[in-house]
Amino acid sequence: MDDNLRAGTLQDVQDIKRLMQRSSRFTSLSAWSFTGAGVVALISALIGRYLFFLPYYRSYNTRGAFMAGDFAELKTQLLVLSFITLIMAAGVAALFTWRKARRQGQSLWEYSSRQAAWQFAIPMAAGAVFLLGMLRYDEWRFIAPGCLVFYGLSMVAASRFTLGAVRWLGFGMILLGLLNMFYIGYGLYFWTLGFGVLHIVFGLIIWFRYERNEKPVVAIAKDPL
Amino acid sequence: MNPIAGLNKLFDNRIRLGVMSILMVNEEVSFNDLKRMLEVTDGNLATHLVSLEENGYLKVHKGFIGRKTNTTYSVTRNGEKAFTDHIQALENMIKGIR
Repeated sequence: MDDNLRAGTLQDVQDIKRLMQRSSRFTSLSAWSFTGAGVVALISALIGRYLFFLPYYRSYNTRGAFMAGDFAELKTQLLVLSFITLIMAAGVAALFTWRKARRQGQSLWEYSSRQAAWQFAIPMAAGAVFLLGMLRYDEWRFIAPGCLVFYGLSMVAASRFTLGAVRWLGFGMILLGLLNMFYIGYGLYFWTLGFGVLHIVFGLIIWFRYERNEKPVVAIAKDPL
Repeated sequence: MNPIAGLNKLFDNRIRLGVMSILMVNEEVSFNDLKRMLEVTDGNLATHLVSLEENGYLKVHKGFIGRKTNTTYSVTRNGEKAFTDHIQALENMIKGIR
């Protein structure tokens, strides 16, 4: 067969494949986004343990009695720390992904990333309102497992529009959250495992599998005319 | 057998092939998103979209976001069939090579 025709056919098939992939999935999600968010979570877990939890227990033990005021203060400290962590982790994740998208010439705000963001936002928003509602009735025990479960659900939902492997990270978070339901009071450990260790391990795995030998993406579908 | 039998003339062009590839895996895509994904100019994309539409491969939906027009495209039954036939023909060609 004609060599030109063969080359053209292969090129066509590769273009089709690439366009189908790139248009339906946001592929610029960086492995370092996960690792970075995980590191932020670990640091924050250490702060939570040594700055807030241990002093609380120390004063509890020296006094020998529960004090509602101390406990309320601990809850506020942890809540604020969680919010700061969430924002910092999201910022770090966004930064690495923004850098990768720029390198690949993909926009952060295109069809696939909008879909992914939207799918991610639905369980997250539902979860946020749900858990805030619980807090309103002073039901704080299920906040830690709840966050893990809703976050995991968000990842599973968004994975359809980005790196498919994200689904497994989501399953991991859900599993940890559900386990946490049966070990109420150990939330910090489960958060450290989930938001910290799981993110870092997942980031390293996808870096090794997909990004280590990454080739630069060439411009696609140039008009031959 | 003729090695290029079944290949669709309309998909000779990279942009038209690209538009169809994108629309096959996405329900509805706007003009601007197509433009970004294919890295082509407005005029160029518009001409190819018209020819695909005239052949009945595309459905055009004209809508508004606020005051700005927002035109989105989706693939028709005919378009879907034409594209799968074209892929089948490509596949046959590749098989013929081996």
